[in-house]
Amino acid sequence: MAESDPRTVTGLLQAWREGDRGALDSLLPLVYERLRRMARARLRSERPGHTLQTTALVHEAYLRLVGAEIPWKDRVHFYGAAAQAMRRILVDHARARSATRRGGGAARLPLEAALDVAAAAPEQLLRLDEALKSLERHDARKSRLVELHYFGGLTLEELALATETPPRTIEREMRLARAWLRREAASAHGHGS
Amino acid sequence: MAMDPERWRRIERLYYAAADLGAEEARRFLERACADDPALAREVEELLRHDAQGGRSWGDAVAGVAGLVLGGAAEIGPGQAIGRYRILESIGRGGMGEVFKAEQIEPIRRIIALKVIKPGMDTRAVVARFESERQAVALMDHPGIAKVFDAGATDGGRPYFTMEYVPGVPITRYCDEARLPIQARLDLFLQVCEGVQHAHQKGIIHRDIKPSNVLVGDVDGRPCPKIIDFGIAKATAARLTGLGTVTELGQVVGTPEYMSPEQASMADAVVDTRTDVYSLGILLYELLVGALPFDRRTLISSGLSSLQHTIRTVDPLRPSARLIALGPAGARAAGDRGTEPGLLARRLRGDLDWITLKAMEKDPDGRYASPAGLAADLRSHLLHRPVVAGPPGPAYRAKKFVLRHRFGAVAALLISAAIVAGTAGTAAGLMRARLAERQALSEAATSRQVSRFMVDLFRVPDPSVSRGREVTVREVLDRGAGRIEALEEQPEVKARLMATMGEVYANLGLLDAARPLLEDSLALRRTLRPAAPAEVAEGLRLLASLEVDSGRDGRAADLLRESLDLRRASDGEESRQVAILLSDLAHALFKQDRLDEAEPLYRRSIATLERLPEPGSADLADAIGGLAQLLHVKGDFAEAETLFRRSLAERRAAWGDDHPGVAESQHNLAAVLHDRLRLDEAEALYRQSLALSEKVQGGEHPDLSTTLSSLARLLVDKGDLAGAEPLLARALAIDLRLYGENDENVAYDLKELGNLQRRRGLLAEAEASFRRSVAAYREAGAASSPYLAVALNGLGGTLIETGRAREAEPLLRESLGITKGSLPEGHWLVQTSMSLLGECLGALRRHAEGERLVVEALEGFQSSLGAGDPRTQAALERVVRFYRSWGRPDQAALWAGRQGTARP
Repeated sequence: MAESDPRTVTGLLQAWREGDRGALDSLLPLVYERLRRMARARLRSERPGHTLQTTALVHEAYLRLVGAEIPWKDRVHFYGAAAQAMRRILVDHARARSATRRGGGAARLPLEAALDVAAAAPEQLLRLDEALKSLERHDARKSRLVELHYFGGLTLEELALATETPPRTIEREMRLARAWLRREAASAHGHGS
Repeated sequence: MAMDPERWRRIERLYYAAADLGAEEARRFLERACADDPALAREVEELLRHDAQGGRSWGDAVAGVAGLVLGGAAEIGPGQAIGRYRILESIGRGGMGEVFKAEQIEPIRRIIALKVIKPGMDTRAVVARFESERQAVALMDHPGIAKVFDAGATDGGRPYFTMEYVPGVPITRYCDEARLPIQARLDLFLQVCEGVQHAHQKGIIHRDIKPSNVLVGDVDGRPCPKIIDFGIAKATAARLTGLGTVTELGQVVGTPEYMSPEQASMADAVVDTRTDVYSLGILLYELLVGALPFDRRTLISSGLSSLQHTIRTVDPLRPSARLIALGPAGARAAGDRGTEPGLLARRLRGDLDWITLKAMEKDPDGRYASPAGLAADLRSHLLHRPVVAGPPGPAYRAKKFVLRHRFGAVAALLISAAIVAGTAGTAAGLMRARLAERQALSEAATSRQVSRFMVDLFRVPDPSVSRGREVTVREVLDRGAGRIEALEEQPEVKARLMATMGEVYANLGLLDAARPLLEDSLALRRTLRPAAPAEVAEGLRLLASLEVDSGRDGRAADLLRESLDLRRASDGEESRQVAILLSDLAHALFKQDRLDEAEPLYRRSIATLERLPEPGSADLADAIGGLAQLLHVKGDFAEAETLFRRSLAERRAAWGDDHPGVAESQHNLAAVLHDRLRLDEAEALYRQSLALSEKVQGGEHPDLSTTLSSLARLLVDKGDLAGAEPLLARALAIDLRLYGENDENVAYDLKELGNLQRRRGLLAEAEASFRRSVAAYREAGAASSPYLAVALNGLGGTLIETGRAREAEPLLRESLGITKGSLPEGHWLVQTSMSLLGECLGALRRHAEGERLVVEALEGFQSSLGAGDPRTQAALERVVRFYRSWGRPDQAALWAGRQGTARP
């Protein structure tokens, strides 16, 4: 398969920024595919990492797909797309993982990996995803801020820059969003399984 | 469950208000605030509890799962086995990866260095590239080169290399810690050159020579340098545009300072042994001065494209000059070399300056062909023999400048009103400055896009296809243009890419290649549905700027007018877009000499920009500067001065005192003051502009040469001919270096110099300068340029003065032909050529033939310039001389008497 042409990505980003919603639909599969391929490659490397951040991966995807300096505004859009793609990848994986565990696959995990899974139960991520969807229904902006922060790796300062909002405002918005998500996830947990 | 939006907004407000209160206080506050709705108070309280609860954050969950999914850069630690090696300890971390001290057991027991490349590279490709060089690498056997043994992949799939373990420190650190004097540093450096030379003879280029790759340790009490990583850089193919060197958000890491221009260029340019010579030059520079030619922080903070630009085009300071410029750091550097700054600078001046700069020439052809050549010249220096290197020669030719200046020069001539008898007016220099400024501004704006696109473009081709063959920028562009065709189903993207490509071509001066792209892009944009007037307006503007560059100002004006109509409809009359377009249109009309049409447009543009909430100093300063120049040309010096002062102030406010734009404005203001005959004020400003240019643009910049010649003309007007000549000579030297001999800028300088020499009575020198000027104009393809006519007139006049009218006649006839063909009827330059030819014929005793010419020219001068103009005076004197030499003193007296001003 031919590499996705970086010019396409740059052009799509610009189009998206200029208000073409359709551009995002064309952009997402490209970013998703690239992130997934990189993720698969990582899967073959030494040990499950202690230090991996989604940030690093998104930055790398950015470089591979865009590969040049582009205006900050466009970059933010890229991170937005990457954050969404990253969320899908992780959620897909968490789903597969929790399915495997129910099927008794946990025994095949090496010790460290098993510990990691215990520390970061995929169920928790799935609950976050559900809660985010629910938040999105009445406050899309906050849902998007959370996505950019957790899945896209943008810091609060970068979020402030990206949304042209004072950092203090971002901070308290994130605080409320987090509190709401925790409550939502906790109650889902309580009522669910 | 969807929530009532009104309710959610209330929750938000209450939450923010209560968030920073203590728990009890918050409860009381909520009770009061939600007296009507206790459930609401409970909900907010619940949220506050979840906030305070904290606990393991979602970030951990995401990172945990991500870590599981994605693996990640695993740590490699002591005791771990990699292939046949066992890790002992980490001994360094660099841009490319981490280096370990490791132990090999089989087949021999030894300590080695093992370098693990950081994640992100294609391991198989890296190892394969190394394998392809392996035999050559194995052939290297030199005490100055650390042997590379092996390459492989870790279990985790990261490439690694093993090599001879070298206990030592980077050469620069070693030298400073040992406080080695220059002589000892040169001795070490010569050994490094030998090592690199050896590798080159085995066919291996290092590609990444820098202090951390040249380690020095003591062997038998003597310092011994060893170069590490030979054969690795190529395998890992770390290039500026490669993934390895660009990380987060476009930050550049690694070592761009040592990168040669051909490596920094985004093209897959040929890297050969001279690439290493360049890096050796930088290393030598650092060993001598204690600092790099370009400051690392400025290089990196300025971003990728400008970094590449710096490496490719900015000439470094001479080592001795850099040392002085370092100030206190220079004093420290001198201390590290066991000497004083003044003494060190003197030690470096001359040979060592030249040798270093020759090794670092931008153009590989200008460098030493090999490390051995560099070493030989250093040895000559140490032995007090003459060195091959001299003051550096032409480094690059700014083709773009040539293309734009050719047009600018003619335009300037058409509107200028002051070249006669060696005294050139300021308008030409002014226009040159203006053009340079425009170009600088537009280039700053486009270069970002250009580099973005170029980077993308250069990432497309498969390196294995272009391997070993130079891929020119043009070729890659053409390939890119071809690729655009495939984007049929995305017309917006296609149109935008074609526009960008067109801009790139135009920027490179490839106007013919740019035109179809810009035309097609515009045509495509016109067909977009839903209609995209902003895109069309932008397309029109791009094409217009191409037409301005091509000298088709008429079409440019038409395009701009259409763009204006669209912008007016979409953005409104009072918008920045409209104001900028008005100023562009004014500029196009100005260039067509349609001053009366241009002036009101400039004024409207300025008025609109001033009314905008954020005037945007740069656009405003640009429009004000444009109007000021127009008024200057028109002769309205008073208002021009006022406006130039405003433009200068705007620029200072926008950019600070140390900016090339400020130097430009100072120059232009000085030029007006010059014309207002406030010579001392003008001189002071020219000198300020000169000092600023030297400071911010370095010793060789087109603006600097413009200011030098302007100042020279001022000194001529003050009668200081001797003071003017060295300035002109320096301007000439700069332009020669920038453009080479056969260039219009150089030809112009030579002509000015010739005029000056002629006025000083140095007729032989003047003749030589004029001849060079004429030749340069012809070679530059300016056979019909009015400027060539001016140079021919100068040469012809000099020949007549030295009794060689026969030689002068064909030259003056050519001049007259050129002026008649390219200038409007009645232009003073046509009359000058005519008058001179008449004089020439008189000197050849063909008075009957020449009479009509001298008299007609004089009448032309009188009607176009008036009796008081010095050119009219010169023509009148010529007529009087003419009749005298004809033996008709009555006629001579008649003319002399009629004017009453002619000297006998």
